[in-house]
Amino acid sequence: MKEPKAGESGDTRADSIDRRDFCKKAIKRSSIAAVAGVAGYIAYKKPAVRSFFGTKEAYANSTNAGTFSLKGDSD
Amino acid sequence: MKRALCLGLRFLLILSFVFTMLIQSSEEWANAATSGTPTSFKVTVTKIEMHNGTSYVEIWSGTSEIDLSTGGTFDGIDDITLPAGTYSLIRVTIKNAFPVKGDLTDGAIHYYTTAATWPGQTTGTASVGTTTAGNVAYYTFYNPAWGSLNASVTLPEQTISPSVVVVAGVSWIPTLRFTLTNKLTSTDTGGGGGYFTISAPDVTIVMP
Repeated sequence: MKEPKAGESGDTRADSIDRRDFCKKAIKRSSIAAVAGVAGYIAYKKPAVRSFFGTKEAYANSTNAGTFSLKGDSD
Repeated sequence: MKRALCLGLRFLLILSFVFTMLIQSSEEWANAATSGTPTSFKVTVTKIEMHNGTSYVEIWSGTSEIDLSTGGTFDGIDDITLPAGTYSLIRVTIKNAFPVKGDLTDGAIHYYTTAATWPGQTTGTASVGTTTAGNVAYYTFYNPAWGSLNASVTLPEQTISPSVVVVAGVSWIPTLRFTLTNKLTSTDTGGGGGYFTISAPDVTIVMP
């Protein structure tokens, strides 16, 4: 039988448990990241809508507006 | 023969009299009225609208007066929000009341406007002239063709060509221009008296 190298487990059962544990932790981390992402998105989105009378259109119009001035003279 | 000569002389006499009268009347006509440009002409804007292809959008409303003789930007109509869109028409509403100040030399006499209305004339159409420079004052004229004194007048809409496309950061600055050259007239009524009238100014909106 071939000798396991340093850092390698010679037990396939132990490997399987390690992988399962790693997957569980990965899923947990991903779900936390997803929840944080959604929460961040909602937190970012809400103030923008609230700032302009609660409508997306008003927000869009305000951000895309230019400016107007009127001069007067004579000839 | 004598009768014919007499008739001929009489005809020449009448002709010379008529000729003298014509010369006299043309001199009087020349002195009767003098035109010039007012030193101050104020106008009040009350509303500005622009057409976005579907309907007119009110850009601004309120009261803003400016002296067109010196010119400048209307107070309060400066850097106001212009919603995004493509605009092809503009119309401006003004007040039919124009405080005017000026002076003109009519014949040998120099007249100045005053706030008083010439007797027998409608208020807002004729300013009593004074020869005292220190008594010069604004007289509020109006254009009867545009309605009553102080009425709101929406000037004819003007095409914006090419259409202005407003997006974020665009600053659009047109100019309301009145042609005032020779619009103020002084009429000498004789005996050191006179009054001022004003002709309807030509109004345009000059695109930037």
